[in-house]
Amino acid sequence: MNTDLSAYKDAFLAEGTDLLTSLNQNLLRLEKDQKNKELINELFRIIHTIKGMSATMGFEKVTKLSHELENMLDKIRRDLSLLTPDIIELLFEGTTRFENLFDEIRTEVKPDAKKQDLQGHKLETVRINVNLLDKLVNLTGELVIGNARLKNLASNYHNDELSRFLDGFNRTITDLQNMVLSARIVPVDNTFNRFPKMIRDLAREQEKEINFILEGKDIGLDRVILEEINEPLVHLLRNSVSHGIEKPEERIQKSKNRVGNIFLSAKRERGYVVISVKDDGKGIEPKNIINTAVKLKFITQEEALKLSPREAIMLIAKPGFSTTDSTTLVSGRGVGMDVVKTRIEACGGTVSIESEPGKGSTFILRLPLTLAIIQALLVTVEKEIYAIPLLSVKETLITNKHHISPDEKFVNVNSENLPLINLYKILDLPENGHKKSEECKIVIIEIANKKIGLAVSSFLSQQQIVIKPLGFLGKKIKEFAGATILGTGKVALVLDINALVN
Amino acid sequence: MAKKILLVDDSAFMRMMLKDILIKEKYTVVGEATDGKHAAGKYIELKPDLVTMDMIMPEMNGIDAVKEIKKNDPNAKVIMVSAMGQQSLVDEAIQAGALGFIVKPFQAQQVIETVKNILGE
Repeated sequence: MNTDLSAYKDAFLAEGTDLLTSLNQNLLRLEKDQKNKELINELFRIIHTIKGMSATMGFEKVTKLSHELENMLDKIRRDLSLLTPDIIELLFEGTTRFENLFDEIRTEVKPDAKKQDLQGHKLETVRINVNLLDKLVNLTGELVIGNARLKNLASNYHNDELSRFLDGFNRTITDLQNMVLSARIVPVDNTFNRFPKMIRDLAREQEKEINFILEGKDIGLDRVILEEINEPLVHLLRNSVSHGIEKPEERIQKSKNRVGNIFLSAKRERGYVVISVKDDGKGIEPKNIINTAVKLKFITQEEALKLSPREAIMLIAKPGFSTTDSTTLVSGRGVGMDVVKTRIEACGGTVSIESEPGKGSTFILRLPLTLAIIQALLVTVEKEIYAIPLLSVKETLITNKHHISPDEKFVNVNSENLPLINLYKILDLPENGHKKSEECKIVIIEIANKKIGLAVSSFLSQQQIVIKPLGFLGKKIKEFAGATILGTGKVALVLDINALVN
Repeated sequence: MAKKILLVDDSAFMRMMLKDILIKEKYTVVGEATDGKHAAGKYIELKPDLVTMDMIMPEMNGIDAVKEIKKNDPNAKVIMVSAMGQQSLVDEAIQAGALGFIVKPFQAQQVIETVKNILGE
């Protein structure tokens, strides 16, 4: 198979990525259920499949890694007592290494194309107008949609030659799409490299000692998104310096190192980029947040009791939450947090906060790699098809009707009561037979530390979609982030999860 | 008439690769199965001239699937295609009734030769 392996690269990456996802899921299960031999067999099978695929493609690093993990799992399945938390950790690390290797493969340019053109001259970089680039992305998006339609039409003809041609055509378009998109992607370092100086200056100004650590500078992100998140990142970093990290004396008193740490890191996680700002400072005390929120009449005393600590912390992202006199109470974390949240969500991303009082806080931004093309879960609600951005989908499940409260406002998942949104109600669709069924299909979404169930009629598929803006119409209908054209030529609306949840 | 081949592999990528190689040589891929259980059913349904069989799969592994297929049709022609190349497993597969063994990663030429050989072409 030395002919032209590059044509198979996408197929390899697509299936490989799915395999990594189930690898991760099974590892998480194994962590909780360490005596389960079936899980070990499943892990072995997944890694074995990766090995076979990568060996065929000639991806030596992937093959070597899978070979090692396979050997390890083979020993474990013969003797379960070998499985220790350390080993599970090692397997998780292996998954991360797979992810990184896949990223390398994904962004790899053919060496001969990189170095020389036809005449043997060295190719120089060319500058290209960003507007032109945006147009190229949009046109490629149209091609992707057109191709999906073509495939759909062709399936009516059962012509082998046609479908073989279309398979090849499909690969070319996918390659084109990846290349055009990668041209828009720039390393986060373009923005990150300004921060060390900013932190140093701020620290000096406020008489703090701070060690600033940058990680994942090479990770790429859509140029537009990177521009959009610059300001939110400045906000978060400033907050970490001003309200997170304590003064040296205070840190020593708390028997912490006098020098505080702030980490800014970017990493790829499946199709997303996760950027986090982490400090080892004061942290956020949920009780203080709740008290302030009640005082400011954001929530009632009753509502306050229902909040989990994670949900309570997110209150600081409510517009107008922070007031100057609450600074001491909540470490002033509210400064601009609502702005941060709005901006990140506008890019199709999510914000979550983790904090341990006394130990520090982490602000986590999850962002799509690009704005125009996203992974989505297609569902039907009654007879209509809707797309849900996969970024916010936690899981899908089919549950029995008795797990849903009589008023249909809550669904019980793993003995946790989650708020339930009935899409057909919100979208004002006529219901037919929806209620009669014993089984309920639920999409669990997680956004801003909050989990919510969406009741749908059926799950269709998971696929890449090209989002088209709705134009003036869309401004009136806040539940939708845009529309997409499916392979059948039908239009599906893309749900705006943030708007729905709020 | 073009010989009919059934592909059994849990990896869509591997099936696509094998399919492309075989189609180029004018074979007809009549069906695909993703695990041993389905393979046995599809064999009865499609009556292929040859089966390529992966070894490690969910539900029923390749070796058990070969046994199952052979139970129904002692003349069934099955080639194992697997990344497991240990002699003991090759032996086990041959004992189960497989007629050939291709170790992943494979070369197109090697696949074609093995297939032709088993089909007596």
